[in-house]
Amino acid sequence: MDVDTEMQSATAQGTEESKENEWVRINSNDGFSYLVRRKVAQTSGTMANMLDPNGGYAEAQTKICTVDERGIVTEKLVEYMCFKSHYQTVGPKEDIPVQEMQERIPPEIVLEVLLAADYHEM
Amino acid sequence: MASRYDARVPSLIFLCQRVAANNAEAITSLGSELSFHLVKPILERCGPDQLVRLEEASPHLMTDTPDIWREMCFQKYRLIAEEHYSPSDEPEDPDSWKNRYFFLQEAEIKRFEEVGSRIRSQRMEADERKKEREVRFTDRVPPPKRSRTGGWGGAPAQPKTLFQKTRTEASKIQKAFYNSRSVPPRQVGKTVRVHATPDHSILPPIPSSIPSRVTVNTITLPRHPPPSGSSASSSSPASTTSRASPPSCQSSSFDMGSKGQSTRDYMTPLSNASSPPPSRSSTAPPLKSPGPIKKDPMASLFVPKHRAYSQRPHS
Repeated sequence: MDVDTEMQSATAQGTEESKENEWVRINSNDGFSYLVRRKVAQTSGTMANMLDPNGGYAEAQTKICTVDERGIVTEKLVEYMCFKSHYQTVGPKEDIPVQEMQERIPPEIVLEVLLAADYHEM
Repeated sequence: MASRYDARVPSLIFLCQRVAANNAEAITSLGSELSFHLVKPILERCGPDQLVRLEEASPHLMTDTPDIWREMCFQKYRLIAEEHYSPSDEPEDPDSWKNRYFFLQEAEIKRFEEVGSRIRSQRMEADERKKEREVRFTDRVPPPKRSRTGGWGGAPAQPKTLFQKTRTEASKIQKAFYNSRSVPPRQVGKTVRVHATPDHSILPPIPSSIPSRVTVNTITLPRHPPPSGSSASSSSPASTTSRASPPSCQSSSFDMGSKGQSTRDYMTPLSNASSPPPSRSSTAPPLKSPGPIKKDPMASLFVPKHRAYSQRPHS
Protein backbone atom coordinates (compact mmCIF):
# COMPACT_ATOMS: atom_id res chain seq x y z
CA MET A 1 0.00 0.00 0.00
CA ASP A 2 2.81 2.28 0.76
CA VAL A 3 4.18 1.53 -2.57
CA ASP A 4 0.83 2.30 -4.05
CA THR A 5 0.57 5.64 -2.32
CA GLU A 6 4.09 6.39 -3.26
CA MET A 7 3.35 5.34 -6.72
CA GLN A 8 0.22 7.36 -6.62
CA SER A 9 1.97 10.38 -5.25
CA ALA A 10 4.72 9.87 -7.74
CA THR A 11 2.29 9.63 -10.55
CA ALA A 12 0.40 12.49 -9.09
CA GLN A 13 3.55 14.47 -9.09
CA GLY A 14 4.44 13.27 -12.50
CA THR A 15 0.98 13.99 -13.60
CA GLU A 16 1.32 17.46 -12.24
CA GLU A 17 4.47 17.98 -14.12
CA SER A 18 3.29 16.19 -17.13
CA LYS A 19 0.06 18.00 -16.88
CA GLU A 20 1.96 21.18 -16.91
CA ASN A 21 3.47 20.14 -20.17
CA GLU A 22 0.22 19.10 -21.64
CA TRP A 23 -0.99 20.80 -24.66
CA VAL A 24 -4.20 22.68 -24.40
CA ARG A 25 -6.10 24.33 -27.18
CA ILE A 26 -7.27 27.92 -27.25
CA ASN A 27 -9.86 28.79 -29.90
CA SER A 28 -10.92 32.19 -31.15
CA ASN A 29 -14.49 32.95 -32.17
CA ASP A 30 -13.67 33.15 -35.88
CA GLY A 31 -12.05 29.71 -36.33
CA PHE A 32 -8.46 30.24 -35.30
CA SER A 33 -6.87 27.72 -32.91
CA TYR A 34 -3.73 27.88 -30.80
CA LEU A 35 -1.97 25.05 -28.99
CA VAL A 36 -0.03 25.98 -25.87
CA ARG A 37 1.35 24.25 -22.87
CA ARG A 38 -1.01 24.19 -19.97
CA LYS A 39 1.51 26.12 -17.98
CA VAL A 40 1.34 28.93 -20.45
CA ALA A 41 -2.46 28.88 -20.45
CA GLN A 42 -2.42 29.17 -16.73
CA THR A 43 -0.98 32.68 -17.03
CA SER A 44 -4.58 33.64 -17.43
CA GLY A 45 -6.47 33.20 -14.20
CA THR A 46 -9.71 32.59 -16.05
CA MET A 47 -8.24 29.94 -18.29
CA ALA A 48 -6.54 28.26 -15.42
CA ASN A 49 -9.92 27.92 -13.77
CA MET A 50 -11.53 26.72 -16.95
CA LEU A 51 -8.96 24.03 -17.47
CA ASP A 52 -8.84 22.97 -13.87
CA PRO A 53 -10.31 19.52 -13.55
CA ASN A 54 -11.57 20.43 -10.10
CA GLY A 55 -13.30 23.44 -11.44
CA GLY A 56 -16.18 21.63 -12.93
CA TYR A 57 -16.00 23.31 -16.26
CA ALA A 58 -16.43 21.36 -19.44
CA GLU A 59 -13.17 22.72 -20.75
CA ALA A 60 -11.33 20.67 -18.20
CA GLN A 61 -12.37 17.54 -20.02
CA THR A 62 -11.84 18.78 -23.52
CA LYS A 63 -8.84 20.89 -22.71
CA ILE A 64 -10.11 23.48 -25.10
CA CYS A 65 -10.64 27.11 -24.07
CA THR A 66 -12.77 29.27 -26.30
CA VAL A 67 -11.99 32.96 -26.27
CA ASP A 68 -14.82 35.16 -27.48
CA GLU A 69 -12.53 37.40 -29.46
CA ARG A 70 -11.26 37.66 -33.00
CA GLY A 71 -8.26 35.60 -34.04
CA ILE A 72 -5.94 38.56 -34.12
CA VAL A 73 -6.88 39.54 -30.59
CA THR A 74 -6.64 35.95 -29.34
CA GLU A 75 -3.23 35.62 -30.89
CA LYS A 76 -2.05 38.70 -29.02
CA LEU A 77 -3.34 37.18 -25.81
CA VAL A 78 -1.46 33.96 -26.46
CA GLU A 79 1.64 35.91 -27.33
CA TYR A 80 1.52 37.74 -24.07
CA MET A 81 0.95 34.54 -22.16
CA CYS A 82 4.04 33.01 -23.66
CA PHE A 83 6.01 36.14 -22.86
CA LYS A 84 4.93 36.24 -19.29
CA SER A 85 5.26 32.56 -18.52
CA HIS A 86 8.78 32.59 -19.87
CA TYR A 87 10.06 35.66 -18.03
CA GLN A 88 8.40 34.77 -14.80
CA THR A 89 11.07 32.19 -14.17
CA VAL A 90 14.21 34.06 -15.19
CA GLY A 91 16.72 35.16 -12.59
CA PRO A 92 16.81 38.68 -11.13
CA LYS A 93 19.84 39.60 -13.19
CA GLU A 94 18.16 39.29 -16.56
CA ASP A 95 16.42 42.23 -18.15
CA ILE A 96 12.85 41.75 -19.26
CA PRO A 97 12.09 43.32 -22.66
CA VAL A 98 8.85 44.93 -21.64
CA GLN A 99 9.12 47.68 -24.21
CA GLU A 100 9.36 45.11 -26.97
CA MET A 101 6.20 43.47 -25.83
CA GLN A 102 4.49 46.80 -25.62
CA GLU A 103 5.55 47.68 -29.10
CA ARG A 104 4.07 44.48 -30.38
CA ILE A 105 0.58 45.67 -29.46
CA PRO A 106 -0.81 47.64 -32.42
CA PRO A 107 -2.95 50.63 -31.38
CA GLU A 108 -5.67 49.50 -33.79
CA ILE A 109 -6.61 46.57 -31.58
CA VAL A 110 -5.39 47.81 -28.24
CA LEU A 111 -8.83 48.55 -26.85
CA GLU A 112 -10.10 45.07 -27.72
CA VAL A 113 -7.02 43.50 -26.22
CA LEU A 114 -7.50 45.65 -23.16
CA LEU A 115 -11.04 44.41 -22.76
CA ALA A 116 -10.06 40.77 -23.27
CA ALA A 117 -7.08 41.06 -20.96
CA ASP A 118 -9.32 42.42 -18.28
CA TYR A 119 -11.81 39.58 -18.73
CA HIS A 120 -9.15 36.88 -18.70
CA GLU A 121 -7.35 38.34 -15.74
CA MET A 122 -4.05 38.82 -17.33
CA MET B 1 6.10 25.27 -7.81
CA ALA B 2 8.33 27.37 -9.91
CA SER B 3 9.27 30.62 -8.29
CA ARG B 4 7.25 33.36 -9.79
CA TYR B 5 8.60 36.77 -10.55
CA ASP B 6 5.33 38.11 -11.84
CA ALA B 7 5.90 41.29 -9.92
CA ARG B 8 8.56 42.16 -12.45
CA VAL B 9 6.46 41.40 -15.48
CA PRO B 10 3.78 44.03 -16.00
CA SER B 11 0.23 42.90 -16.73
CA LEU B 12 -1.29 43.00 -20.18
CA ILE B 13 -3.83 45.45 -18.85
CA PHE B 14 -1.05 47.75 -17.87
CA LEU B 15 0.64 47.47 -21.24
CA CYS B 16 -2.59 48.08 -23.12
CA GLN B 17 -3.34 51.13 -21.03
CA ARG B 18 0.06 52.50 -21.84
CA VAL B 19 -0.32 51.97 -25.56
CA ALA B 20 -3.83 53.41 -25.64
CA ALA B 21 -2.83 56.48 -23.60
CA ASN B 22 0.01 57.16 -25.99
CA ASN B 23 -2.53 57.23 -28.79
CA ALA B 24 -5.36 58.85 -26.86
CA GLU B 25 -6.02 61.50 -29.48
CA ALA B 26 -6.61 58.84 -32.13
CA ILE B 27 -9.36 57.06 -30.23
CA THR B 28 -12.81 57.77 -31.56
CA SER B 29 -14.79 55.89 -28.96
CA LEU B 30 -14.24 53.83 -25.86
CA GLY B 31 -17.37 51.84 -26.44
CA SER B 32 -19.82 50.78 -23.81
CA GLU B 33 -17.99 47.84 -22.29
CA LEU B 34 -14.85 49.38 -20.97
CA SER B 35 -15.25 50.44 -17.38
CA PHE B 36 -13.99 53.73 -16.06
CA HIS B 37 -11.14 52.27 -14.00
CA LEU B 38 -9.72 50.62 -17.12
CA VAL B 39 -9.75 53.77 -19.24
CA LYS B 40 -8.89 56.31 -16.58
CA PRO B 41 -5.23 56.59 -17.60
CA ILE B 42 -6.35 57.18 -21.18
CA LEU B 43 -8.79 59.95 -20.27
CA GLU B 44 -6.21 61.68 -18.16
CA ARG B 45 -4.00 61.96 -21.17
CA CYS B 46 -6.67 63.52 -23.38
CA GLY B 47 -7.06 67.18 -24.19
CA PRO B 48 -10.29 68.95 -23.23
CA ASP B 49 -11.87 68.60 -26.67
CA GLN B 50 -11.02 64.91 -26.91
CA LEU B 51 -12.39 64.36 -23.44
CA VAL B 52 -15.68 65.89 -24.45
CA ARG B 53 -15.83 63.64 -27.54
CA LEU B 54 -15.16 60.46 -25.59
CA GLU B 55 -17.66 61.43 -22.94
CA GLU B 56 -20.32 61.86 -25.57
CA ALA B 57 -19.45 58.47 -27.17
CA SER B 58 -19.51 56.65 -23.86
CA PRO B 59 -21.94 58.45 -21.56
CA HIS B 60 -21.46 55.92 -18.77
CA LEU B 61 -18.07 57.48 -18.19
CA MET B 62 -19.50 60.87 -17.36
CA THR B 63 -20.24 59.97 -13.80
CA ASP B 64 -16.57 59.69 -13.08
CA THR B 65 -15.07 62.41 -15.27
CA PRO B 66 -15.57 65.46 -12.98
CA ASP B 67 -12.39 64.51 -11.17
CA ILE B 68 -10.54 64.64 -14.44
CA TRP B 69 -12.01 68.03 -15.29
CA ARG B 70 -11.05 69.38 -11.92
CA GLU B 71 -7.50 68.20 -12.35
CA MET B 72 -7.43 69.84 -15.75
CA CYS B 73 -8.63 73.15 -14.34
CA PHE B 74 -5.88 73.35 -11.82
CA GLN B 75 -3.14 72.07 -14.04
CA LYS B 76 -3.73 74.39 -16.97
CA TYR B 77 -5.03 77.55 -15.42
CA ARG B 78 -3.61 77.38 -11.95
CA LEU B 79 -3.50 81.08 -11.14
CA ILE B 80 -6.98 81.97 -12.21
CA ALA B 81 -8.47 78.73 -10.94
CA GLU B 82 -7.09 79.34 -7.49
CA GLU B 83 -8.59 82.79 -7.55
CA HIS B 84 -12.04 81.46 -8.27
CA TYR B 85 -12.30 77.94 -6.91
CA SER B 86 -10.75 75.67 -4.33
CA PRO B 87 -9.80 72.04 -5.09
CA SER B 88 -11.98 70.55 -2.40
CA ASP B 89 -15.04 72.22 -3.79
CA GLU B 90 -18.00 69.90 -4.44
CA PRO B 91 -20.03 71.69 -7.05
CA GLU B 92 -23.79 71.47 -7.27
CA ASP B 93 -24.40 70.01 -10.69
CA PRO B 94 -22.32 67.17 -12.06
CA ASP B 95 -20.99 68.99 -15.08
CA SER B 96 -19.84 71.99 -13.29
CA TRP B 97 -16.12 71.27 -13.23
CA LYS B 98 -16.31 70.83 -16.96
CA ASN B 99 -18.15 74.15 -17.29
CA ARG B 100 -15.64 75.82 -15.04
CA TYR B 101 -12.83 74.59 -17.21
CA PHE B 102 -14.24 76.25 -20.30
CA PHE B 103 -15.01 79.40 -18.36
CA LEU B 104 -11.39 79.55 -17.25
CA GLN B 105 -10.27 78.97 -20.81
CA GLU B 106 -12.16 82.01 -22.02
CA ALA B 107 -10.94 84.14 -19.13
CA GLU B 108 -7.38 83.20 -19.97
CA ILE B 109 -7.83 84.15 -23.63
CA LYS B 110 -9.22 87.51 -22.62
CA ARG B 111 -6.33 88.16 -20.28
CA PHE B 112 -3.80 87.31 -22.98
CA GLU B 113 -5.49 89.71 -25.36
CA GLU B 114 -5.38 92.52 -22.85
CA VAL B 115 -1.73 91.97 -22.07
CA GLY B 116 -0.92 91.61 -25.74
CA SER B 117 -2.62 94.84 -26.69
CA ARG B 118 -0.92 96.65 -23.85
CA ILE B 119 2.47 95.42 -24.98
CA ARG B 120 1.63 96.32 -28.55
CA SER B 121 0.66 99.87 -27.65
CA GLN B 122 3.77 100.30 -25.53
CA ARG B 123 5.90 99.07 -28.39
CA MET B 124 4.22 101.47 -30.80
CA GLU B 125 4.78 104.37 -28.44
CA ALA B 126 8.42 103.44 -28.14
CA ASP B 127 8.66 103.23 -31.91
CA GLU B 128 7.12 106.65 -32.30
CA ARG B 129 9.50 108.18 -29.82
CA LYS B 130 12.32 106.55 -31.69
CA LYS B 131 11.05 107.95 -34.97
CA GLU B 132 11.04 111.46 -33.62
CA ARG B 133 14.66 111.22 -32.75
CA GLU B 134 15.82 109.83 -36.05
CA VAL B 135 17.45 111.90 -38.76
CA ARG B 136 14.98 113.20 -41.32
CA PHE B 137 15.11 115.24 -44.50
CA THR B 138 13.68 118.68 -44.06
CA ASP B 139 13.97 122.14 -45.55
CA ARG B 140 13.22 124.04 -42.41
CA VAL B 141 16.13 125.46 -40.51
CA PRO B 142 15.95 124.78 -36.78
CA PRO B 143 16.17 127.82 -34.50
CA PRO B 144 19.70 128.85 -33.45
CA LYS B 145 20.88 127.40 -30.19
CA ARG B 146 22.01 130.60 -28.55
CA SER B 147 21.21 134.24 -29.18
CA ARG B 148 23.85 136.42 -30.68
CA THR B 149 24.38 138.90 -27.91
CA GLY B 150 22.90 137.06 -25.01
CA GLY B 151 21.26 140.24 -23.79
CA TRP B 152 18.02 139.45 -25.53
CA GLY B 153 15.17 137.30 -24.33
CA GLY B 154 15.78 134.50 -26.82
CA ALA B 155 16.14 133.55 -30.48
CA PRO B 156 13.81 135.22 -32.96
CA ALA B 157 10.62 133.37 -33.78
CA GLN B 158 11.55 132.77 -37.39
CA PRO B 159 14.87 132.87 -39.11
CA LYS B 160 15.36 136.25 -40.73
CA THR B 161 15.82 136.48 -44.44
CA LEU B 162 18.67 138.51 -45.81
CA PHE B 163 16.32 141.31 -46.82
CA GLN B 164 14.90 141.49 -43.33
CA LYS B 165 18.37 141.60 -41.88
CA THR B 166 19.27 144.46 -44.21
CA ARG B 167 16.24 146.42 -43.15
CA THR B 168 16.88 145.99 -39.47
CA GLU B 169 20.48 147.03 -39.93
CA ALA B 170 19.46 150.08 -41.93
CA SER B 171 16.96 151.17 -39.29
CA LYS B 172 19.58 150.71 -36.62
CA ILE B 173 21.96 152.87 -38.58
CA GLN B 174 19.39 155.60 -38.97
CA LYS B 175 18.62 155.65 -35.27
CA ALA B 176 22.25 155.78 -34.34
CA PHE B 177 22.86 158.49 -36.87
CA TYR B 178 20.15 160.83 -35.63
CA ASN B 179 20.70 160.22 -31.98
CA SER B 180 24.38 161.07 -32.12
CA ARG B 181 25.49 164.67 -31.57
CA SER B 182 27.69 164.94 -34.61
CA VAL B 183 30.44 163.25 -32.72
CA PRO B 184 32.85 162.05 -35.33
CA PRO B 185 33.05 158.27 -35.25
CA ARG B 186 36.29 156.69 -34.30
CA GLN B 187 37.99 154.67 -36.91
CA VAL B 188 39.94 151.95 -35.16
CA GLY B 189 42.30 150.40 -37.63
CA LYS B 190 40.49 148.25 -40.08
CA THR B 191 37.63 147.31 -37.86
CA VAL B 192 34.45 147.47 -39.80
CA ARG B 193 31.82 149.23 -37.84
CA VAL B 194 28.40 149.29 -39.24
CA HIS B 195 26.68 151.74 -36.96
CA ALA B 196 29.01 154.66 -36.52
CA THR B 197 29.76 155.91 -40.02
CA PRO B 198 26.81 157.67 -41.43
CA ASP B 199 27.22 158.90 -44.95
CA HIS B 200 24.85 161.60 -45.91
CA SER B 201 25.70 161.28 -49.56
CA ILE B 202 23.98 157.91 -49.65
CA LEU B 203 21.37 158.53 -47.09
CA PRO B 204 18.20 160.08 -48.37
CA PRO B 205 17.81 163.80 -47.90
CA ILE B 206 16.73 164.66 -44.46
CA PRO B 207 13.05 165.22 -44.35
CA SER B 208 11.96 168.27 -42.48
CA SER B 209 9.61 166.30 -40.33
CA ILE B 210 12.38 164.70 -38.31
CA PRO B 211 12.70 166.60 -35.06
CA SER B 212 16.18 167.49 -34.01
CA ARG B 213 18.01 170.02 -31.95
CA VAL B 214 19.82 171.40 -34.91
CA THR B 215 18.03 174.18 -36.68
CA VAL B 216 19.02 174.97 -40.17
CA ASN B 217 18.60 178.39 -41.51
CA THR B 218 20.10 179.53 -44.73
CA ILE B 219 21.31 183.13 -44.54
CA THR B 220 22.53 185.47 -47.19
CA LEU B 221 24.27 188.44 -45.81
CA PRO B 222 24.48 191.64 -47.89
CA ARG B 223 27.95 192.32 -49.22
CA HIS B 224 27.74 196.11 -49.82
CA PRO B 225 29.11 199.08 -48.04
CA PRO B 226 26.97 200.17 -45.25
CA PRO B 227 24.34 202.73 -46.10
CA SER B 228 23.92 206.15 -44.39
CA GLY B 229 23.88 206.31 -40.76
CA SER B 230 20.21 206.30 -40.13
CA SER B 231 19.52 203.38 -42.28
CA ALA B 232 22.54 201.65 -40.91
CA SER B 233 21.35 201.91 -37.43
CA SER B 234 17.99 200.69 -38.40
CA SER B 235 19.31 197.90 -40.48
CA SER B 236 21.87 196.77 -38.05
CA PRO B 237 19.48 195.52 -35.46
CA ALA B 238 17.57 193.93 -38.29
CA SER B 239 20.61 192.23 -39.55
CA THR B 240 21.66 191.06 -36.21
CA THR B 241 18.29 189.67 -35.38
CA SER B 242 17.90 188.04 -38.72
CA ARG B 243 21.21 186.41 -38.38
CA ALA B 244 20.44 183.39 -36.27
CA SER B 245 23.98 182.34 -36.07
CA PRO B 246 24.82 178.65 -36.43
CA PRO B 247 26.61 177.29 -33.41
CA SER B 248 29.80 176.75 -35.28
CA CYS B 249 29.94 180.37 -36.52
CA GLN B 250 30.87 183.23 -34.49
CA SER B 251 27.82 183.66 -32.40
CA SER B 252 28.92 186.44 -30.19
CA SER B 253 26.39 189.17 -30.14
CA PHE B 254 27.56 192.43 -31.28
CA ASP B 255 26.54 195.07 -29.01
CA MET B 256 24.84 197.48 -31.34
CA GLY B 257 23.72 199.73 -28.72
CA SER B 258 22.40 203.03 -29.66
CA LYS B 259 25.58 204.59 -30.61
CA GLY B 260 24.96 206.20 -33.85
CA GLN B 261 28.40 206.80 -35.02
CA SER B 262 30.02 203.81 -33.71
CA THR B 263 27.64 201.61 -35.58
CA ARG B 264 29.35 202.36 -38.71
CA ASP B 265 32.59 201.23 -37.30
CA TYR B 266 31.00 198.19 -35.96
CA MET B 267 29.25 197.44 -39.14
CA THR B 268 32.36 197.32 -41.21
CA PRO B 269 34.23 194.87 -39.17
CA LEU B 270 30.98 193.08 -38.76
CA SER B 271 30.40 192.82 -42.42
CA ASN B 272 33.99 191.80 -42.91
CA ALA B 273 33.83 189.36 -40.12
CA SER B 274 30.60 187.93 -41.15
CA SER B 275 31.46 187.42 -44.75
CA PRO B 276 33.66 184.46 -44.32
CA PRO B 277 31.25 182.57 -42.07
CA PRO B 278 28.27 182.85 -44.45
CA SER B 279 30.41 181.78 -47.32
CA ARG B 280 31.53 178.86 -45.38
CA SER B 281 28.15 178.01 -44.14
CA SER B 282 26.38 178.43 -47.45
CA THR B 283 28.77 176.40 -49.44
CA ALA B 284 29.28 173.83 -46.80
CA PRO B 285 26.50 171.30 -46.28
CA PRO B 286 24.09 172.08 -43.47
CA LEU B 287 25.51 169.41 -41.21
CA LYS B 288 29.06 168.82 -40.42
CA SER B 289 30.67 166.11 -42.40
CA PRO B 290 32.34 163.44 -40.34
CA GLY B 291 35.33 163.22 -42.57
CA PRO B 292 36.57 161.29 -45.55
CA ILE B 293 35.14 157.84 -45.89
CA LYS B 294 37.12 155.20 -47.58
CA LYS B 295 34.71 152.27 -47.68
CA ASP B 296 31.09 151.91 -48.68
CA PRO B 297 29.48 151.09 -45.35
CA MET B 298 26.38 149.56 -46.86
CA ALA B 299 28.56 146.89 -48.31
CA SER B 300 29.85 146.17 -44.85
CA LEU B 301 26.39 145.13 -43.79
CA PHE B 302 26.85 141.83 -45.51
CA VAL B 303 30.26 141.12 -44.18
CA PRO B 304 30.41 138.88 -41.15
CA LYS B 305 31.49 140.67 -38.06
CA HIS B 306 34.19 138.26 -37.12
CA ARG B 307 37.26 138.46 -39.19
CA ALA B 308 37.62 134.76 -39.01
CA TYR B 309 34.49 134.12 -41.03
CA SER B 310 35.18 136.88 -43.50
CA GLN B 311 36.37 135.87 -46.88
CA ARG B 312 38.10 139.18 -47.32
CA PRO B 313 41.84 139.21 -47.05
CA HIS B 314 42.93 139.61 -43.48
CA SER B 315 45.91 141.80 -44.04
